[in-house]
Amino acid sequence: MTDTDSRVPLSLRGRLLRASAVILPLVIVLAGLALLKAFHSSLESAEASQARLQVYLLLGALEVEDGRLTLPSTVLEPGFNRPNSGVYGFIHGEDRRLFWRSGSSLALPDTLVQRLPSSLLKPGQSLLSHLPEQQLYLFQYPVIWESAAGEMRLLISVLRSDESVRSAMKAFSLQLLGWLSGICLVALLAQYFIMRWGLRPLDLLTRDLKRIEDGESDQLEHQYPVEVQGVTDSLNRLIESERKQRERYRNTLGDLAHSLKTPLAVIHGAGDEGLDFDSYRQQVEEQAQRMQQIVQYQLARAVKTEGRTLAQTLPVAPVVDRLLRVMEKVYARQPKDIEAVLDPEAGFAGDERDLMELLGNLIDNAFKYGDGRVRVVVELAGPLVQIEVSDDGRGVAPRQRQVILQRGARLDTQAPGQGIGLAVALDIVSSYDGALEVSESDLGGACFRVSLPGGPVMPAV
Amino acid sequence: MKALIVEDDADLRRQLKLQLEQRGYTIEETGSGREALYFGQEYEYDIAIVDIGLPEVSGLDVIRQWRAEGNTVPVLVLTARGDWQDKVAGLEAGADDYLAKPFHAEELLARLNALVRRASGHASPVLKFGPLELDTAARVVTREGGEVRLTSYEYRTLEYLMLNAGKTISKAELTEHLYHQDYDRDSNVLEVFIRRLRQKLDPEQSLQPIITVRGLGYRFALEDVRQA
Repeated sequence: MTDTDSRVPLSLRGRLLRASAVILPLVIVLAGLALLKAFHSSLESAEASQARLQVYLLLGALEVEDGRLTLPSTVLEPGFNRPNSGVYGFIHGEDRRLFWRSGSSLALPDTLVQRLPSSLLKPGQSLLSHLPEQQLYLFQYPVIWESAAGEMRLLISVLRSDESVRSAMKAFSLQLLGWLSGICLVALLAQYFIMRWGLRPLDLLTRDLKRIEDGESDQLEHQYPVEVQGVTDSLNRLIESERKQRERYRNTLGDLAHSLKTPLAVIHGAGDEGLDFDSYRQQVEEQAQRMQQIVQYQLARAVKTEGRTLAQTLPVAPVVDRLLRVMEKVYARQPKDIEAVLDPEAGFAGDERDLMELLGNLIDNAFKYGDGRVRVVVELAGPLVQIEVSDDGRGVAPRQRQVILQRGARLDTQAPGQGIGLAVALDIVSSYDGALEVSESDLGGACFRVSLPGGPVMPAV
Repeated sequence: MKALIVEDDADLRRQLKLQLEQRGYTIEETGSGREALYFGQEYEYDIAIVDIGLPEVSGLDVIRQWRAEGNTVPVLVLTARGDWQDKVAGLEAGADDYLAKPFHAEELLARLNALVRRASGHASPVLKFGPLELDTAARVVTREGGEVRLTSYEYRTLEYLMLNAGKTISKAELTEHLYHQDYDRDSNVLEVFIRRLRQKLDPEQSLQPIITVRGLGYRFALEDVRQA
């Protein structure tokens, strides 16, 4: 056995659980990430519209006189005037010239302030960007100011602390984590219970099988879902045929044991008779032969099927052909004249092993007892297939014909040396409710004619 | 005759070996199909007895493989089940005859005898060459009806030469097929047998049944009566 063979495959429940334990959390994490992303961008767009409002505010308060720009601090919202309030405003002119900065912005680092007018925005465009180092959002809005003195290009920048966004994100993440973990747990639990419920028929099947194993039941008794019922039905059929087979074996074993008792008794007795070695040997030899025949006969009966007539027919001609070919080989020492008249349409409605055993015995006899001529005829006769095996040997005397075909003739009452082939053949024929007749053949020897349930062979599709 | 026994049951194998050796066969034996395949490739046998039910490589596979390799050694299969399905399987695999267990030694020997004869083209158990007759069943040699008394080795040498009549048999082949391996393979011994055989079969030297082919071996030179 290789390693892969010896490894126990994972249970269905294990497979499903493992799969959902991996996939469910993965899906939930992905959903969580998507939610975070969506929430974050909605926060940022709120931030942008706040900043835009403040830009408009600054624009509203702006006054330009003689190329100078003034902003009365009183009209502004208090955040612009309070140092470090988290809201800062800047107005740059062309050539990066700083026109104005809010009172709140005085503590901001100069490097940041110098970087502000680098934007390449066109008038009317606006931009919100995040400056993570300074923890600020920067909103920039370029305008063209028209006055009597001419046009003036201005860039209005509003900086807002990202504090509120960060804290909102943090609160949201925590809440989301809680909810999603809960959902994940509930989904896994639900999955587990669904699985238990779904696989319950299999547990039931296991219990049912155990009951059969323990001998408490003969078959799977419960009703199963459609998907399982097919399996249980065939299991039931298997169990049933197994049971019948076992019964047949038990009967055969019983018959065997009983029929062996007689020759054993003879051998026992022979030891006490005070015979000379040669007679003793002969007696033992005879009984051994008798026992051998009994064993062979019972063995043949044990492997034989029940003789169930099948709906499907089995072509007889190929079986006859195969047998004739091998017989020719076995009996090659005597030249043979073999004639086979085989209807290729003729089919036997039964088991191939039975047919081969039956015909094997009949054809073997014809080769063995014939003087060189053998004829096999296979033909259909209504619902029957008729097989005729004839030879040119000594034949069977009319008085003997009844004897050799007597049904139920016990084999252990036969004289030593008699073959068991016919007894087996007869057994097979009668198990199919067929008929076996012996007559004289026109070749001069015996003619065995068998009728068995049959029918035309369906042409191969 | 050189026979190969392929049977996994050690007791039965020993019995077969004993019975066949008593009848003058030289025996090679094995219980494994794999080994049987090897033997079949490496050595030449006059007959092989193969049990169908071998472990690992089945007897059927052994025979099929032999036949596929062009090995035409006559094969007798032994079947335990003895039903026709089994027998047909054995014969279709390439065996020449079957025997169901249990069997009598006498029946086995008769079947083997017949197979060996058949392989050499003789149907009858009695080989007739001119005035000489050799009955393979009774192991008796007669000349014009009168029995010629031969030792076991002389008989076997003559039987082998007759079964291969017309063919030149080398000394090595004769030794190989006739004598047990532990036997002294000195070719002088063979020459002594042949000389005695000639004297017994043909004291007046009128028949000259066995011809020495110089440097090659011996040839049985009488005409087969059956063919004449």
